[in-house]
Amino acid sequence: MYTSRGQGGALFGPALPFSRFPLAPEPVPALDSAFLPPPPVVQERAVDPTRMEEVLDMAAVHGFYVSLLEDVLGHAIPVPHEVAAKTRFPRR
Amino acid sequence: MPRWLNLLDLAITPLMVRDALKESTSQDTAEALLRHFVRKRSRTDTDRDKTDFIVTFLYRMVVPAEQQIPAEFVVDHPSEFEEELYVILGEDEATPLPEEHRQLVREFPFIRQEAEDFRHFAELMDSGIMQRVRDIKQRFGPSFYHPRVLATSAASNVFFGQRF
Repeated sequence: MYTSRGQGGALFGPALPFSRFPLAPEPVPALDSAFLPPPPVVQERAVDPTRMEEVLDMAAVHGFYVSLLEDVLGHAIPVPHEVAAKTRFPRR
Repeated sequence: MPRWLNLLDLAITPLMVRDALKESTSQDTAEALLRHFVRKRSRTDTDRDKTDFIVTFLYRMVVPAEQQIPAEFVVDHPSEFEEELYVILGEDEATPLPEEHRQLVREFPFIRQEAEDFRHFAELMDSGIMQRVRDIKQRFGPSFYHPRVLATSAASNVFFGQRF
């Protein structure tokens, strides 16, 4: 018969001085959080809705124009990196 | 981004925009194009013509076929399509048109009456009425991008397009 955790018992001899510690240490929240990196702080940036709509419209215009030119020329046209990064939208 | 679009604008003619606006073009794209040009308020002929094609495309898309050519043009009050344009452009209330431009808008019903008398396309072309319409549109200047003018122009374009 197993003795209860932390109390030692006759089967395993006299209780050791550290036997009061549980066999499976319970998590110590303060210790866990001390070694983990702090959670990222997500800050919502206030973007002017009018400006945001303007950017979305420009992306749509870009998609329409690029698609139109590619249809006419029959090949892809080079797009500046900074523009390509901002316009991940389906074309017309 | 605006500079890039201006560069693309140089490479694209109004006729290319007209031909590219087809059934596969979504209404969202057409609305974005219209907002883009209305914000730009360019006085150039090419930008005005592109806007004209876009708003006409939207007119055909939004207005039911049986209502596209009303019995008469009423230009002193906002049409349903003009109200729709306010929604598309996100404007609650437009700046009133200057009086001289209101007078220009009132010319459209007269032009339509004249055009209704023509029986053949050649008559229409010989009359010089199309050039008159172009001149009127040019005289609007930045007021061309006013919803009243855009709606009137689109209705007029659809009338001419269906008549001949």
